[in-house]
Amino acid sequence: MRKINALIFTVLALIFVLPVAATVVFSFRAGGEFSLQGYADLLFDCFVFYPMFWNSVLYAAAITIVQLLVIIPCAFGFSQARFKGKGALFVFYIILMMMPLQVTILPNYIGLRDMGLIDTPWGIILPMIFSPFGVVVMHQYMKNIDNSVIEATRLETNSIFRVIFTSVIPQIRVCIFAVVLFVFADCWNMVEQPMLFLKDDVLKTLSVFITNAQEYTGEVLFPAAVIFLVPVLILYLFFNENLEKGLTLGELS
Amino acid sequence: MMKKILPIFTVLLFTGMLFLTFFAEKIHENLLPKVTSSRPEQRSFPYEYTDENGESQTGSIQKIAVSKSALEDGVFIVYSAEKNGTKRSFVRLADIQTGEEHDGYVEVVSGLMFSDRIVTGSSGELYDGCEVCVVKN
Repeated sequence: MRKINALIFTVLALIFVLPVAATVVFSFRAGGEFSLQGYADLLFDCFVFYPMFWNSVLYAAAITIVQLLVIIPCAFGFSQARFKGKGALFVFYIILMMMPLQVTILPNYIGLRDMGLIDTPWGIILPMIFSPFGVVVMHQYMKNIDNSVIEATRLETNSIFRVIFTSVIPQIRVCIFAVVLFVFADCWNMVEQPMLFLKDDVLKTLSVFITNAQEYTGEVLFPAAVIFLVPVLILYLFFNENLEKGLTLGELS
Repeated sequence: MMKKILPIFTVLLFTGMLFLTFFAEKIHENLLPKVTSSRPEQRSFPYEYTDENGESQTGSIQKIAVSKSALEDGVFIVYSAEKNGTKRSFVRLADIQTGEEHDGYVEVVSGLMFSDRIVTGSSGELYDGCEVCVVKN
């Protein structure tokens, strides 16, 4: 049975890895031969690539940091506070989490247009500063943390932020790493928001560059896709040990 | 091992991207042929006319002209076009119809306008449609 499972998962892994491997291989081919021409065309002949790369880094990093600042206190409030409608609000968060992006993108556009934030970086960052996914995951994880540490800190200080910073965050570090990975990957991969909310090419992201790669001369699509993979892969390699613990430990409660 | 290599690789990657962000365009320009350009010259060409007394007179008229040596090498016109989202300079081979010859210069009947900018000097070999870096004289 274990051998059959191993075989099935190996085949599935190969199916998922095959497009990535093909992308890397094709990035080193030009005219049917091994060549770095694609990378040369991308890095030395396609200068719009660089502002789009740094925009992706900036938006993903900014959204990740701001989301952490918002969802950690929010999840802490859910786990510690007792108030009417807490259960209903949590169910509402779960519904929000499952709602597809296409449902909220038009109201977002109208709101950003009325605020004059279309074609600005804030048009990308502001709608993403809250994530129900992060709150739900952290809230589940926080159910397992040691409340005695929190109580001890409460004896020393009245400041909620101090309590969160000194006694909660060290205990949920693993969960934070897992959430950072998911949030960063989600923001790094976003395509619809930059395409709809940004008009100036200088503000757009690398995901939009790849979508429109056919417009550019030279074999730039596959090299751009490989470079697009690297930052998320690096982040995954940094945090992969914490990923499983961060997402599953909360479910033991 | 991975824990040691990964931060180094990350730093190298972002440093490399930062370096290329600022210097990729300069590196690209260094690889392009450098050209100087100017408007086509206007030269005086003699022409004969009959005055009011019926006598044959010789006058001169300014016409667009290129030197014979430039004509042999091919006259390239510099133009701007967008490539990969940025404005660049390219050259195209002018299809010139020539006329009279005078004093080492050949009249350009068609194929060149005074508003065009033609290549007057180049650091490398040019071909129709190639990208160039225009330097000031």
